Amino acid sequence: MASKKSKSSKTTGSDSSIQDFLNEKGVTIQFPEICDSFPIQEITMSSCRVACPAGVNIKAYLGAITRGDFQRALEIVKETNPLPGICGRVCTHPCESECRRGEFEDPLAICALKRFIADYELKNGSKNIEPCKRTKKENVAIVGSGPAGLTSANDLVRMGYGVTIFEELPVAGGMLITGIPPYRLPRDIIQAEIDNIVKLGVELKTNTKVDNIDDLFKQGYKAVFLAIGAHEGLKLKVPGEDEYEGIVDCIKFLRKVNRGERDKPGERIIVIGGGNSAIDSARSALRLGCSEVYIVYRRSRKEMPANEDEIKEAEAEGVKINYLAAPVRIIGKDDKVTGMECTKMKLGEPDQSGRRRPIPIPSSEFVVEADTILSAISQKPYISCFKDCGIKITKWDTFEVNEKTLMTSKPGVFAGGDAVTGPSTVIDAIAAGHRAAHAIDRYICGKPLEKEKSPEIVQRELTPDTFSPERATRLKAKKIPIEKREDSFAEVELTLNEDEAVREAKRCLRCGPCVECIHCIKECEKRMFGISTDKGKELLMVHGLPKNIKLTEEVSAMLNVKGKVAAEVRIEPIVSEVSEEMCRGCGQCESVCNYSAIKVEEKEDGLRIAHVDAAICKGCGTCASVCPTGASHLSLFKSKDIEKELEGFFG
Amino acid sequence: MAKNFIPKIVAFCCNWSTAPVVNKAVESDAQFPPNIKIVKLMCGGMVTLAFILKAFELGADGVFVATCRVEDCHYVTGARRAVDVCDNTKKLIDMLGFEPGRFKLGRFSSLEHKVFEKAINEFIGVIKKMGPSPIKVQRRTTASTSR
Repeated sequence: MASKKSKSSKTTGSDSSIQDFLNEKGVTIQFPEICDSFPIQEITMSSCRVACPAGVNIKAYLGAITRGDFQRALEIVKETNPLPGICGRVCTHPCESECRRGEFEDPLAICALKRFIADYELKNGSKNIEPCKRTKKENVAIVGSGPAGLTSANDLVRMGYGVTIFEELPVAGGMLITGIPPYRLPRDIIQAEIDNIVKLGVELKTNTKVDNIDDLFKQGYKAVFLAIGAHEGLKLKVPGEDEYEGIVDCIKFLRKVNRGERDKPGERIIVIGGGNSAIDSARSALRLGCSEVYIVYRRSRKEMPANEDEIKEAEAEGVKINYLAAPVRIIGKDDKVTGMECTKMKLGEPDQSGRRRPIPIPSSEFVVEADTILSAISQKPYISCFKDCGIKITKWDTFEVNEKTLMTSKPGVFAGGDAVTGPSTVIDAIAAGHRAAHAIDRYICGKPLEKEKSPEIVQRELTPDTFSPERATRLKAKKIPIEKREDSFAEVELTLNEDEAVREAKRCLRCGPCVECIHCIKECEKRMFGISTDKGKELLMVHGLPKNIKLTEEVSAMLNVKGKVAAEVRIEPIVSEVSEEMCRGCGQCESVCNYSAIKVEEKEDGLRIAHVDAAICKGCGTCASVCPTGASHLSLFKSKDIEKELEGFFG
Repeated sequence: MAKNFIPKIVAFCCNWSTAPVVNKAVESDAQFPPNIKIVKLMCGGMVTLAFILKAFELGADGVFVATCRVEDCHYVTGARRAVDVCDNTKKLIDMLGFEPGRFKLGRFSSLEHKVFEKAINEFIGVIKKMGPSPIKVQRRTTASTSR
């Protein structure tokens, strides 16, 4: 009888008590029909997810790729990133620099994998996207159709608002389409992803310039999100800049090239700056047939903000980069630029951005000959038309917003993306779009804007078995050969194939045991798993019943359990034990015990033997690992041991 | 027989807070009766119907479960599980026709050895009044008849 009961004894719970208890702890159970559930493990975020500004659940979609479920992988990405194909190409992938595998070999090619799943959908035909249901009567206006605008439109339309995007240019996409050249980001990818968002029910008004925000409110929009980006190039502020012809702002140059114009700007080009737009301009100029392209950057390569890959590619294609040089004045003749005088720099103390400040070296000037100079030093938003609308502007000509809510000084007007931060990355803009969408939702519903705190993130240390993985080299995406790149704006990097993608995804260490794929919840017919989030904490619950358990009707009614259940989770309690025959009393265990649970005692016959105080011992196992004779080991408190103990007591 | 009756008690103790309590209680010359068996478990939540019934089956007169306070549980939900197990056990014992008083759950923090001492002595008093466990008596009689 007892042995049978030992199985049924795991069926312990009445659901209400556990639920009450979990409620106290701030956790809600999503599926209350789970009668006896307990946490497998508190899910903490993996470092890649923490690093991602948009918080994409990277570990989960890599897990889905490993299983070959590319559709599900894309679903996971799209929960937090509506532009996977774009991000898979141009993202600066902060996730890869935080990847735990990167601590001992190359990190995972997360970006290439994201691109793979996005392209897989394009190649195999996407699911029909149906318009979202309109559940709220309010309308929101979004000014600018860049990544920030598109993301917030995507979020808001899913929440049930009516969303209109106003775009000044004839095409949507913002800096994606005007700033990034097609060899990095093909136009059809941008168009496909924008179409996906428009299909949800977003109204896109191109060729519509917004000058006055008050007009938008008069038209009935309840909130306005200004995601106008930063499209105005900063001036070089060196003598001669305005005197000669041939000094072009890189954004204007890129916009022309991306519109399809293929006029050569000149023969010898100097690009000033070290960001991605500088590299883009230089590589585009080469493709237009310019014979020599120089980049002049005032710091060293280490400080260059452009992607490392981009710099390498540019150098391979023939761009020459002058590090530690800054323009002093522009030289010209007959109203035309003939060259630029530069000065050499050295690096001084780190400044506010953490990069070392460049200091000019006196009398080290030199001249670089050129007929066209592209300035790519930085950009700011075209903000002049919004100055009269009662919105505070910072001294850098960006919108002043509340950092948490993204609301400007004018109620109902929000701003985000490059228009607030200055030129930044696509993924930062996506993150800003999400935040703006949530803030706008709370604003319209009349909820306090600042209620939401960013969740506390606990980093889980890697356990030894997750950190002794097999080595596997990172797959490098194939690229088209350099000879073929001349005159061609075809995409340079190619997509991984299916086998490569699965193999690369398998390199993921899955920091922490649970992959957070939430597949269990989707797949389990009996709904034995549940996941819930509250106060930023997530808890995965599993039904804690053993296999093949047979319950009589009476008992099961009493225990409030229905039917058979399949999963069992057990914690095996451990305590240290020293066998007297083998112990030689060396005392090594005594010195390593963190809890002072082991003491070496001298017996009457002179033998020294270690003695474990089981009440203090926490079962960490350190003593067992140092014991030279193997006397110290861990004993398990299994049901068997306990039954034996009881039998011993009663004789 | 009832006068000299020393009940056999099994006490299941959680290793994190109640086992130190028991140690302290023993060290401080507690008036423990000799026939008390302390079974250490890593967590009160590890107590199962099986252990409790096994103990009764083997002839225990009373079973005491000592766990942490719910909010102190080292494994977060362990103590709560113990409570659930004990609730169900009580119901089952009652169904089996056993006195529910033979089984008790106590919750202690790691400093309350006096409270523990008091609780266990009270429990022993209750068991003494009840007399020996019916299971034990029955087993003896069946054993003697078979001989």
